[in-house]
Amino acid sequence: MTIPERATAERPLPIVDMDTAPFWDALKQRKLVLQRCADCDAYQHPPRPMCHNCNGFNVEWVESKGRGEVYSWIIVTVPSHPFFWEVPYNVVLVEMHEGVRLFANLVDVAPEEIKEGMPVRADFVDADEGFCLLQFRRA
Amino acid sequence: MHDQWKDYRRKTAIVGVGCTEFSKNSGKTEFHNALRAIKTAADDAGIRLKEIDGIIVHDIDRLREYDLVDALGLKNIRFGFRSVAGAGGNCGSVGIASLALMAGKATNVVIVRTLNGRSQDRYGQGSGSRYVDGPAAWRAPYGLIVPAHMMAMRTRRYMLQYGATSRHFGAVSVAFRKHASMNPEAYFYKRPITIEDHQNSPIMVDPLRRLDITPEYDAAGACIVTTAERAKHLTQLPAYVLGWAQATGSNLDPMTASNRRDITVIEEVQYAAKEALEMAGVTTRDVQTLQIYDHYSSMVIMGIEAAGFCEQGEGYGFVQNGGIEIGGKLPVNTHGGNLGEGYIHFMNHIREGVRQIRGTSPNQVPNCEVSMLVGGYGVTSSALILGR
Repeated sequence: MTIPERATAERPLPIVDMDTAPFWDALKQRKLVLQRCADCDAYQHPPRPMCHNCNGFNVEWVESKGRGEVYSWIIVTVPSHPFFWEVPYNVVLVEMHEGVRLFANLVDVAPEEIKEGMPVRADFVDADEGFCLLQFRRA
Repeated sequence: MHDQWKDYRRKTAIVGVGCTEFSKNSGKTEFHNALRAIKTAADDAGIRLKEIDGIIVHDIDRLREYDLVDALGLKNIRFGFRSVAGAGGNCGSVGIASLALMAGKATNVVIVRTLNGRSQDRYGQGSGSRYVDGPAAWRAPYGLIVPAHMMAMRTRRYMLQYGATSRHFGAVSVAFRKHASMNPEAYFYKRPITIEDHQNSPIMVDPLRRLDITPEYDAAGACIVTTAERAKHLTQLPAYVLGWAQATGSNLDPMTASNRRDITVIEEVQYAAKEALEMAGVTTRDVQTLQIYDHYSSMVIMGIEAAGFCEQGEGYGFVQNGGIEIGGKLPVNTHGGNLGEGYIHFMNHIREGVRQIRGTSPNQVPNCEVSMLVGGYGVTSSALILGR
């Protein structure tokens, strides 16, 4: 895993479309929103046009309480992208209390301190081009 | 069990297999390597290239059916298809080819995959793209970039749930490198490793070490499927198609299954294996050898569980003490797999599954009558049962 020469040292950013724009727009307001079905109350992530449970199109966006627990994590020790050059860094998969799981980084926690079920809260970090990204902190 | 499935058993066969050498730089185009592999497979089967009238290329291949038609100088291709999901789709491609053959829509179908996976397109590396869409949009901004990162996430969860350790995963790498060490066509021929080698190899993405992760190669692989009737008159002992299935499972979220209820359950393999075995009219107890996709050693353990050879959470014990080595209770990847022979999105696993039926494997299982294959997972997967 050496670094691709053609890459730049910029953080990868999402391509936003009409299905996902509300999520990214909310982050810019420092809010985490999740998709919930207005008919059957099922949550889902990543966002999609249709409710996976009842197959209705009546999906809406609700603000998350921003609380969850660490479900799994990795510690990257050899870089594979020039932006993520400084290793080690973590990526966590967090199970939100609403039931969906989200990827992000857990900040201000040493690799050996990350534990299964560790309570975390959503936080936000500015990125280029006006983007704001999710990150987690110890709750 | 659907009654009509038994009507599809033993009606088609894989009659030719071929792979190029596995190297770090083939020095040839993917197009060239594809034609080499197809020629090798046709020669193996004893058919002329001009007799090919059906082609299945890979969904993520640059190669297209029209390239092959022109290069092989064919008058016409009657049946064409693009496989589903790279390494996951190939067993299903054999099934789809079988349907076409049984419907009289083709006579000889070639399935091919070609990839300069080390000198050109390195799937083990990040794309370096600034803007990412699809599943990557939810991962790459956080540094979850390459497949190894995604499978490390599932591996960690497996360790948490069942108490497996890196050393347990090492048993898989050791087994496959042992098989490769006795296989002259393997990249790691005569180069076995010990569990200490595994434990001393660097951690690339904790919990995965270098020797848990498939190396990258340049190669191409092909196989030829024809009707059982026709197979009887060809060069090789036919590897009859007894059963096959494709499956996604739920919440696939390619590679991560991040919102699956349990990310350590390879549902796509559970469904594909169960259906393929039922169609074949056999059980896991009848399976004498398994070729299963091995992009990561830890995932092989989850794959073996999902295929039904042991219970969930028991796989890391199953693979210890030579359990999956030749002579063990279930010889797995007797060619050495991705980790030992080479990586061409399961085409070499198919070659090995066929060789076991023929009795020509470098690590032959005695009197092998039922050979099972489970394609790549984390993506749409598929399974195949071959028999004498």
